[in-house]
Amino acid sequence: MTEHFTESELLRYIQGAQDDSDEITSHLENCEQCFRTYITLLELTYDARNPPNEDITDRIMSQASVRFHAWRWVAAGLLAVISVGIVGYFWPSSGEGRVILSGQVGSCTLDGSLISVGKPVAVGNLQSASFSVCDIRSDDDYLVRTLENGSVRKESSHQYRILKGVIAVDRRRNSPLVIEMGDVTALFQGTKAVFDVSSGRVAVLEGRVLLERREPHASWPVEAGWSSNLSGSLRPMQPEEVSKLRGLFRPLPSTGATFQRAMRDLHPGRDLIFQEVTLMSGKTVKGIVRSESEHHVVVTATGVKRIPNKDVKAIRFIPP
Amino acid sequence: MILEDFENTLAGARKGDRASLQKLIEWYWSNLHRFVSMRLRDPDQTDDLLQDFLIDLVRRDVVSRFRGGAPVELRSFLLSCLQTFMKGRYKALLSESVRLEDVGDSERLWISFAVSSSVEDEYVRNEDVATIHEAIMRLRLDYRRIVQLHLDGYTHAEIGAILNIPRNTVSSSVSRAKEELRNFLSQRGLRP
Repeated sequence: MTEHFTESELLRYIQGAQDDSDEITSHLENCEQCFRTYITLLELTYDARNPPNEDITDRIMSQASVRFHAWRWVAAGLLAVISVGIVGYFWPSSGEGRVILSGQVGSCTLDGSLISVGKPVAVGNLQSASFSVCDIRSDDDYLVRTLENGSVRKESSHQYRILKGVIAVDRRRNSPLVIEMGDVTALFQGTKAVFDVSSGRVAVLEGRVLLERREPHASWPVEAGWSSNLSGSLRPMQPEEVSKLRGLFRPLPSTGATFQRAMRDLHPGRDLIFQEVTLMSGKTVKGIVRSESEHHVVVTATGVKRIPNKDVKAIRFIPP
Repeated sequence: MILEDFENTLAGARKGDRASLQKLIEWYWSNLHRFVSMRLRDPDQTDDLLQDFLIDLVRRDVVSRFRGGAPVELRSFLLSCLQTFMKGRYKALLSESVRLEDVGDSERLWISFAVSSSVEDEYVRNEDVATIHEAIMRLRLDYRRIVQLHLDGYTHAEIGAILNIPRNTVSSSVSRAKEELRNFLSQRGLRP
């Protein structure tokens, strides 16, 4: 038997440009190694002609690029620590408490009353759990830190309790879910975490999580009770931890109507809360989200607009 | 031909050029996807795992550790990294806190993948695999390459496109090849 053929020779054979193709054919009949190389080259040639759509590789590269901006995370982390200290110092003991969500991937901006999730991470059926640090001041302003560009914005007015929620996106429904936390709140720090709504489980990918029952009118010391034993790689929660959570997380059936109700609770006397629907194309539609289904969002704007879910990037409230 | 540009692209990726790396991922994505998909048989799990693997690959600059220089070598390298990633990641599901009745079907699949079976099972399986492999290698080249592509997860239409032959020819070749394999395996005492 002759020696093995090189990849370039086999590649030329595949392309029909090799002179000794009969010799290669008979060699492939008998040589397993060359046959395997040949098959792999056939596959790679075909796959290269049929690449995945750009979204996939773009998403992967953008997620991976977090590594290249590590200094931003460090800077944002320092800002977060400082801000937590400041807010903790000034936070009234009878206040509503504060929510600190932090994460590793993507960014989060505080838009009106909603946390909009940046580039989502797909884990199981849910995409999400990518948060930046949001500190809510009890007075008339709040600070927003976006980890994406490391900037700090100070925006005026309004504190919303809705920030107690976490936005996740169900990949199958392709619509946002807000998971309410009731009187038990999960705090995440440096965490990539996923809520499994159906089972009520929280999978902690990185970082650590604290379950805290919040007493009415009690202050909420951030550092107290951090559970360090939950740090590490992916693992389901302990049964006793699951039992604490079961029934406490519930997906809201509609971000539109339910948020409207929630916002009316927060702002009694105000009938209409306007929202802004950001489309995938970057355009925005302002109006009132009347209803949502698995397939579309209906917005009353200038005329009723029915927008397919796949075209909706985010829905946010416009501060009253 | 994209593969002709392989050397330059690989060199660029090794130097940290993001565009080159992205191009490599595009080239190998389908192959890696098939590899995972054939094992997990769950589209969501496959997408998630592959995404996580590729993110990890880029972040840890794994391609720069690749010493070879040919497309097939890189594929083998990536597949072995992927296999290690799959095993490592889902062995975590075996932590003491997990009770089997609490895990879902897809997690069960992972666990069965991550846990090695007994030595006896492994031996019997290896014997069977070797016999099936021998049977495939005995097929004539026309059939063998179709069967191999079929086993690698390509549809008949895709195989037709790869080999530039009609889809019907692929289908009939697969059934004839299966018949030959069945006869061979029966002779060896294996029930196909």
